[in-house]
Amino acid sequence: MERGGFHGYRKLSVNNTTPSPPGLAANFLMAEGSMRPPEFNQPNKTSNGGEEECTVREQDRFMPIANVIRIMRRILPAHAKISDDSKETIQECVSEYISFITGEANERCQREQRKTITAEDVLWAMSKLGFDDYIEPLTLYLHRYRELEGERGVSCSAGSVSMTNGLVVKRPNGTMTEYGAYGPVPGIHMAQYHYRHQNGFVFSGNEPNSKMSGSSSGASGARVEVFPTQQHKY
Amino acid sequence: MDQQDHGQSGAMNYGTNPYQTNPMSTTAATVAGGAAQPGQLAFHQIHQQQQQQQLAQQLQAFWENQFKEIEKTTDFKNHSLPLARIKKIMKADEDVRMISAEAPVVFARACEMFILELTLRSWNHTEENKRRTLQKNDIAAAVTRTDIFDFLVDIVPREDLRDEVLGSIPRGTVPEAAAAGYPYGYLPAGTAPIGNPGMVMGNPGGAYPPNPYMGQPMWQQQAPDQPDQEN
Repeated sequence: MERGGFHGYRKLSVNNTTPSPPGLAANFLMAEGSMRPPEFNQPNKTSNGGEEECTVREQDRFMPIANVIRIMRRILPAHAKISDDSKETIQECVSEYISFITGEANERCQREQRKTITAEDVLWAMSKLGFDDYIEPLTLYLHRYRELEGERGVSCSAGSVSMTNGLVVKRPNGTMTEYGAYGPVPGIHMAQYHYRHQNGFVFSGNEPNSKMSGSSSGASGARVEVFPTQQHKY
Repeated sequence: MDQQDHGQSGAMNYGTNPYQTNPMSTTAATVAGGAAQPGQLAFHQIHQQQQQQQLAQQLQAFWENQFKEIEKTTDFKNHSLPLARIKKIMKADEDVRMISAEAPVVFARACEMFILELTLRSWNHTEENKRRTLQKNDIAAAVTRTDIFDFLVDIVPREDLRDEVLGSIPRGTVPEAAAAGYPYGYLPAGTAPIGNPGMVMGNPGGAYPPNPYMGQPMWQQQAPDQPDQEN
């Protein structure tokens, strides 16, 4: 069985699957919450992604089973029961779905010589793989997400700048490590940030002035990451 | 990879033994009943057809509801699924380098929709068999009946697939009425659901030709699929 995009994904026996403790899930949610502002201001979390990559654990290969069951019950009648093996099967199906779509999205990135998988790549991959019903709701979701998160960014522009500076100070080593892993990376690619798309499938190019600005400030990769903040102000 | 799959399949087979007995008995009884009493078979077919129509309506309502829910969404910080976990699964593929912060956000919502759709289609099979417990073979049935779920055939055990093939034989003889297409669907950008040959799985690919998903109910295409399953 040849699966170009999945050769790094290994599947073990279902019997080894254990649901993650509620506490652990809560920790994930809390961690995610605390990381929210940096996440928005820095679209490419390269160093963080690199760090996480080394600590992938067995139970991290699936979504938390409690979350999965909660979602399932939303569409099932009240009297419905769910067998344990079907709960685990849905868990596996979700991971397979993520890997399936990610593989297709990543191949598109590579064809276009880009290194960052964007939300548009994910939507494009879904459409390519037949999940057409998903595109319109998700495109709307993405637009609304950007509107609301963008407003927060604008209203807290000073805070955003401050946090960005802090991030730059704290992460230079991580950033350089990332560069070392992939060789020299043009700064302009890091600055590719698509804000307020009108169409989920169309990439709006950066303004020429913006590109020049990005290039001129590209003394270091970390510095270029400040660039997206400027777009919040218009 | 093949060895791992085989081992996993074995584990799945063992795990599903307690649940397979009933479906197989039901299937055998259905077949025997059908052979002995044509009226009984006709009734069963009518029931199946009604169930499929109900599913088509439920799916249409589901997608309309999804769009409306998103229109009302104001909280984008709390997701049904943890973003960090999604990112780790994405990065399990060593080819994946960097991921935009928005990609896991979109995936969180997409996976939610995926779970809901798969559960709805699986529950339809549960009701067809007049049970109240969603079982693994219900998921297998949903996978075999839905083209866009072809990539999941490795997840469901083959015994369940065989059971579904047997169970689906009578339906092939009934012409299905076409329901309205999904109002919110697009035509696929590519000509085939699976664009990359490397992504096609050998046996399942042969068994399930990649029909373009044109936003029509999947059950409408069951009749053309029958010959392939019978092969």
